[in-house]
Amino acid sequence: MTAILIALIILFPWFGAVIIWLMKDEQEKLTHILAMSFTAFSAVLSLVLLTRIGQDQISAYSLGIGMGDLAFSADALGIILTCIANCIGCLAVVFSKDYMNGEKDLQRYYSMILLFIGAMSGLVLTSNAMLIFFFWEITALCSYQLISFYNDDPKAVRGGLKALFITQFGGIGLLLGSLLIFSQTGSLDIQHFIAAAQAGEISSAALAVAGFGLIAAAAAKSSQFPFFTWLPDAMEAPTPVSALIHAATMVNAGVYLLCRFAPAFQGVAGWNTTVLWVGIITILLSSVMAIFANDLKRVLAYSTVSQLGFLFAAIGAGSVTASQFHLLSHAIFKALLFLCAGAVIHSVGTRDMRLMGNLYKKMKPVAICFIIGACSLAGIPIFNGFWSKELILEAIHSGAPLSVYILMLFAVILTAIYSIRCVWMVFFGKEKSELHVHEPGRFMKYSLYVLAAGTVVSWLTFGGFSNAFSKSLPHHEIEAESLGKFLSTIIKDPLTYLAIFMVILGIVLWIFHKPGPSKAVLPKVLETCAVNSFGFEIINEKIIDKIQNLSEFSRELQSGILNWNIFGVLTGLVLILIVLGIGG
Amino acid sequence: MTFIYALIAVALLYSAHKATRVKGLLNAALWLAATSCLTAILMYIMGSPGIAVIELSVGAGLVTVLFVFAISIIGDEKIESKFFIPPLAALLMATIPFIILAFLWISGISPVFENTPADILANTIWEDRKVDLYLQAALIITGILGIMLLIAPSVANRFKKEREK
Amino acid sequence: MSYIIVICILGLLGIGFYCLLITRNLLKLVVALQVLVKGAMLAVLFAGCLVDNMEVAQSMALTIIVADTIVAVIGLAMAIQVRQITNTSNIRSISTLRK
Repeated sequence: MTAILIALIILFPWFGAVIIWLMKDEQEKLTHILAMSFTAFSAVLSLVLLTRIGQDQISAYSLGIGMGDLAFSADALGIILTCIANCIGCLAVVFSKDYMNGEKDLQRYYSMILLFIGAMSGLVLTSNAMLIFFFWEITALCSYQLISFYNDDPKAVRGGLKALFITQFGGIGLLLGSLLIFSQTGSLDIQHFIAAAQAGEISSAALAVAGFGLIAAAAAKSSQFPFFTWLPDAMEAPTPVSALIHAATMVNAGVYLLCRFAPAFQGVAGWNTTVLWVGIITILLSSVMAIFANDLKRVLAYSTVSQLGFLFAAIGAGSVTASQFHLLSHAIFKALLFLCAGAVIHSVGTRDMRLMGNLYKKMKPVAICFIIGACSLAGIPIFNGFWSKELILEAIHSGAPLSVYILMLFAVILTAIYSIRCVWMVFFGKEKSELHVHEPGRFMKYSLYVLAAGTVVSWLTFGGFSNAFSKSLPHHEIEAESLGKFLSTIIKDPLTYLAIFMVILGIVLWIFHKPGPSKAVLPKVLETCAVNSFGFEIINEKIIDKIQNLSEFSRELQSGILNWNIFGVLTGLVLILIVLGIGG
Repeated sequence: MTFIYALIAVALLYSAHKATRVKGLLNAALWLAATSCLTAILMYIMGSPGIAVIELSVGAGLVTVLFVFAISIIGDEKIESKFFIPPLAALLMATIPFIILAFLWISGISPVFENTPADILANTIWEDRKVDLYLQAALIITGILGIMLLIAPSVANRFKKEREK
Repeated sequence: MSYIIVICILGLLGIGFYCLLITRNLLKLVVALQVLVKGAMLAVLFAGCLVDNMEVAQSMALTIIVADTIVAVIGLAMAIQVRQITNTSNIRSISTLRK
């Protein structure tokens, strides 16, 4: 039963992708409806799968010696992410019904989204390291395709290529890790590898290389330091895509990877610390950038990067549950924020926050949803972001040095500042220009309401969440905690009030300096740095230039005459043989 | 027995040499067929009759037919342009690596493989190398497409007409 | 016995490579590739003999035969198309790379 469900959940969206690809341009309405029904059905399937969380591993088919088995595991880590991908995917598609109305190439758009949803489910459900790589690359391909969806806009194409290249670095890290796993244990099965690593059967050098390879992979995919520059540029994608792929699901793949492999690398010196510090540095840099950004979607992108940093920090502090719980909250409220932003952008026709203002009166429902999301992002009580962020802060307080905790509190202030700044600039304040605002469509509102409701109540699932984790992940050694106990721990803990105080401090700081918000709170130098992405953009450009020059140079070697190519091949052969002869 | 083997080897190398050096493409195709036959015999001697039969039917049969077919479509052509690589350098380059290889083999430096327990061919193909099978299926489909290209001179003619325009 | 086979393998590879180095005719190229691949195939089988693992070697050889035939078919198809378009089989005529 579980096996059939898993197969369906991966293959059904792919089947849908093929069907939609075959639609004709004139059948626009049918395309929308088909896409909605395919995603809705997979969302239902994923919710059914939620009832089947367990430890059992399903091995369906052997792919031969070098590829391992077509194996899947139905544990909480994978199934919850599958649910997130499918449900938010469904809502994003429903939202697209209005957002993409009248656009060309809908088939390409929906096919890629469906392909992505299937691949994401496969990525998190499989327990074969090589298959993870396979699905990982499919998600990268879809992400690239969707970022460059408006492919006559050079900025979109550039953003897509940038995302593709940078995430490929991560792909190399993952491949390296998988191959090392195979060479050390003779199998690609992750559970087997984790068991072997915990039993100390793997040489520590290989374990360290694999561990840091996976950190590189995760950092590139989840847009962490030093690879965080691709995500803001990925905002050229249509907004529902940003909500689905670049906020709620694909960027979580990196975090998932670390969570999945975390028990294996506990023995590697510096692994946890590296993850922790990658997270912290990312949070600080990206929060500052979010404070200075003026493009609504870019602000949200930076906030995504910084929230992913929180997830990394939680893993570094040793709490997979905290990381995954915040991942769930973040997926919901960030999808909400992005979809609201989409509704605003769709209605107003610009992404520049400086041109917005006082939209609250004109689009009340969207504004209220956005404020709910922003409150959750800032960590204001009752909303899901508050509870999960407290969980992370608690984990960091108990599992990391005090200096890290203080930095995290500082990050909480920054988060509050950029959240309130964003809300204020878009929905309140003075009207900057005569913008023609039109009402968001029916389908847009539906998906916003569902997500807003999720943002308010999703923390109630903590009991079941923690229970599922402790039951289905034997290697992670997670203790189950009931909702009541969790709430009372957080409410009784004085540190919670410190964090809330920090949030209020952030908001007050901002309100106090409202006219020139960022400049008064933070020095001018910081603004210049933040607007230039702290120099990472320049480093990227340099690297690309170097690669391009190298390719220009190596083109000279390609005369296009086969005889010379063979000559080169033979020269290589002679060199190898000489090395063999001497070395042997 | 060794004498016969040596004879086969000499014949094999001679026909390979002829196949690559002989004037006239049709002759080359026939010499290639001979090479293929002799390779198949060597394979049989080495103890893999199944592969030998496939090599004989595909290598000597199918490929030769395709060659003759292709030559009949486009005919022979004498190419007068200069060599890109001086023949002497080519000869050196084509012999040096193999002399080194032979030397390495004679002096006993050859890679050591682990002995794995013997299995029957069918198991090896159908169980252990499934991905390969898919690859082969894909290759065969590619081959079919290739044959369709071979017998579609009309496509080429269309290009030609467009060029003339 | 094994010396004879090694000589065959090396000879076939050498002849094939030499032809690839000097030929300028597309069809000859395909012939040279065929000779080369036969050498490689014998080498794979010989390796199987050496380590007493003929089954894997044989299945590899089978894959090689399939791949080799496809290469021949595609090569011939390309030769025909090139000839029809450019009126020559000289390999120079295919190359349009910037010098």
